[in-house]
Amino acid sequence: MAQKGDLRYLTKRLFRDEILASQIVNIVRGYWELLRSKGVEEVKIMNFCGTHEYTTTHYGIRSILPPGVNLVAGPGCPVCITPSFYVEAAVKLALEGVTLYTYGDAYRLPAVREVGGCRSLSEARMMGADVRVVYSFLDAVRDAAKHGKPSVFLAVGFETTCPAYASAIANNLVPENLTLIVAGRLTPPAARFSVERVGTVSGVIAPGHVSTITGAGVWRFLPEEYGIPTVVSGFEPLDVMIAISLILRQIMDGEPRLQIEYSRTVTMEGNRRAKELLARVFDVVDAAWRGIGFIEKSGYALKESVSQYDAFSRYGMREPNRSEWSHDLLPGCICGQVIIGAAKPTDCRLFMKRCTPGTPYGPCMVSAEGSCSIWARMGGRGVVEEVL
Amino acid sequence: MGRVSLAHGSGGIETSHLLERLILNRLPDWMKRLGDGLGLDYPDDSAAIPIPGGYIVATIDAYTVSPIFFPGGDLGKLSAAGTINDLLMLGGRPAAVLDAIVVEEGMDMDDLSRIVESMISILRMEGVCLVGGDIKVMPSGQLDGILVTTAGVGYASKLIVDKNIRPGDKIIVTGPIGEHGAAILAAQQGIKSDEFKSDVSPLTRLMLPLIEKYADHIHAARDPTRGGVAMALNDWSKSSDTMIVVYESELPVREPVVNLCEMMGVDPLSLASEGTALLAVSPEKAGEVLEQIHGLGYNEARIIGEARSRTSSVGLVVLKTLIGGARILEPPSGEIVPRIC
Amino acid sequence: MCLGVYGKVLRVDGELAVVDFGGGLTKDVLVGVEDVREEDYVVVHAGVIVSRLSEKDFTAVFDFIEEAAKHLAQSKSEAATYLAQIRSRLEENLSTSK
Ligand code: SF4
Repeated sequence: MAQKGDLRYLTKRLFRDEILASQIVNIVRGYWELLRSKGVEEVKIMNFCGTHEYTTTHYGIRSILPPGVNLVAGPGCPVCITPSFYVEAAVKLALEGVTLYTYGDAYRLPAVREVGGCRSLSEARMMGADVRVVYSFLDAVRDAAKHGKPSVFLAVGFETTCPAYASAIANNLVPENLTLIVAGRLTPPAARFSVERVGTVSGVIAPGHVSTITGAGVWRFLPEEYGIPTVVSGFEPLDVMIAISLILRQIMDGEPRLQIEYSRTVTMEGNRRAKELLARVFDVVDAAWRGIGFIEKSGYALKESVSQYDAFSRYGMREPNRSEWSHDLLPGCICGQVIIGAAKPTDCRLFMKRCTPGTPYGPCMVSAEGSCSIWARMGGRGVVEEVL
Repeated sequence: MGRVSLAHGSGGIETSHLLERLILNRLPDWMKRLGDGLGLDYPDDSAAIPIPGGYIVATIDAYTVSPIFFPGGDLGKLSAAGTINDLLMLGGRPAAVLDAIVVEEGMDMDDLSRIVESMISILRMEGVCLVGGDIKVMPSGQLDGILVTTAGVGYASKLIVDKNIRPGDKIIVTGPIGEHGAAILAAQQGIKSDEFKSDVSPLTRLMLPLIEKYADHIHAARDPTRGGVAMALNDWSKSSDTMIVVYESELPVREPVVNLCEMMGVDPLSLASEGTALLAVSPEKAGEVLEQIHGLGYNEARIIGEARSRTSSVGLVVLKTLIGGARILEPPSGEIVPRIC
Repeated sequence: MCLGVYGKVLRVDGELAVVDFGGGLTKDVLVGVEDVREEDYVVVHAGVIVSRLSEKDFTAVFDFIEEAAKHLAQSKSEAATYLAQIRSRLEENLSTSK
């Protein structure tokens, strides 16, 4: 199977290698000791990508880091931050007989208010609605073209996901019967929002795949305006660990800057073609984030010229504006704080009581990448360490 | 009370909660079990009813799958093999099966006979009788295609009961994991590749010799169907007062399955197998049992972990990861759907 | 958020491409980058090629680690041995891929 220069194979070999991992841990420890000798007690490293959080949890990275090096998750889960309104609209349309497409993540996402007795698309499907989970927008485009029935795609996602919509629309691939509920969001504005409110972020692991599109350059403001060491990182366990070591090194040198760890696919400029497509199809507008509120210039909306693809105008609906919009959180849930890294899940009174992975109450418990769900699963850290 | 959701039937935590609320809470203790047999008070793969010299083991399962015909098998094969395997996992020798088929009006007659033929051919091959059954037709639209329920009966001289796992026991898996779940996921997502084929098959040729020779050393056996290895091991830990440690580097997962899982964002540990067994074997005999398993043609069988004495109050499965970290392996919850993040 | 999978481009046909994700697992995807060619290694997210992988930069990241080990070696003596181990491990891995 192994072939010379097969990068797929090489990734798995190199970037998941146990011995290399242990040496990188040694390097992290080395820097950490140096920092401690300089009086540093804690570093808080934030990521803005659910997949970084996934890698961190999946490979048990927290369990092998020195106790003072804390990894916290920022608003990097497009599912957790999708306003309830979009889910409610999608459920409503599905129950009215529209074929609804979305990704598995959004399929389970609960709304704050019930629509027709359903809180999510998965519940609507149980009630007989035609909800189809797809791997890609293209799969939905093809399926909808085949059956020709009125169809809507619940289009969530960040900069990485949205070019799929833009490209299909710009290339006239989308059949007349398929429209979109566009809930796409941009990450840098949310990162700015979070670091301003948390205040104590010592370093940022910036999202690698978002950066393939936007270019790493969009993160320059973090070191330049906030003095935060920032490393654009890949998603293999060793990528994340190397990024951590680079951040510690920057802290030690006292020279915060922007580094690209994920240079095998990320450039400063990003993906020109995708950026052009995005600009051709979408306007960037002020947009709501669940649990957080409106963030300036942080959302995608279809341009006037392609408004025929807008599900809201086709079905006579519209988005709530700033004054009509509420924070979308259930009483007691502090997800809004958890999402931006300002509070820990354990600060929530409902954590592991009313709200557990089996019976999620707030959005951060729903998605496997929500911080609360991750903390719930990492709860037995003591036990985990015994095994090491 | 809310509504029944698909997740309630996915074999994960939601299923156990539903069963608890719906059935177990309604039963007085005497109703849950017959004599010193095994019943709903201790949900294992099958039930056991004591008779002189041993036990009658019995099991029942309702099978649906979409698509009905999938690479490597179909609903008929699944329902026959699944029931046979449930009996084997309790240490039973399968003897007879009864079936109930509910079919939607309008179903293609050829498809129906293909499914029944494939169920019967498995039973024939395994020397298991089909001693009773029923068939019903539902008006079109009230059922999605077809539902097959099979009940199985067999004998056991000694039961293999999951709660007997002891600290030190080695956990053996008899083949690559997640093969059935991967084949279904690939079929549902329109991925055409010869690489994905369900492992659905009866485990008679594997289990009968093992039961005969090592009944005292195999402390637990389970076919990790719905919920996969993650669910099975969590059940074991909870019912046996042990903590189970699994080494990620030892897990047999075929490369195409790894790739599919990475692409779809699902964990192979939560994908079903339908022709693979998990065994907990006393440490002294583990090597010997493993050799025997290899000798029976299950060449990819491996020791993937071990049971340890428990230090926490609840049952836990801890996965030692590839890079030397550790994490808790949760029982899967919810339906298996591809995700983008 | 954005799960990206590495694949190898088998065919390009206008806006569409067929990508092999290893072991015969292929899928049609949208081309989201300029000049994608057959044989290119790419990152695919939710059915779209979002970027290309650079062979040249593939192991560049380990230079960071070597540099860090050297840097630490000045203050910590064991770091020099990490360095040696990292290098041999890298070479081993690169050679097994041949
Ligand atoms: S524990 Fe549950 S209720 Fe509390 S913040 Fe997290 S998701 Fe919200």
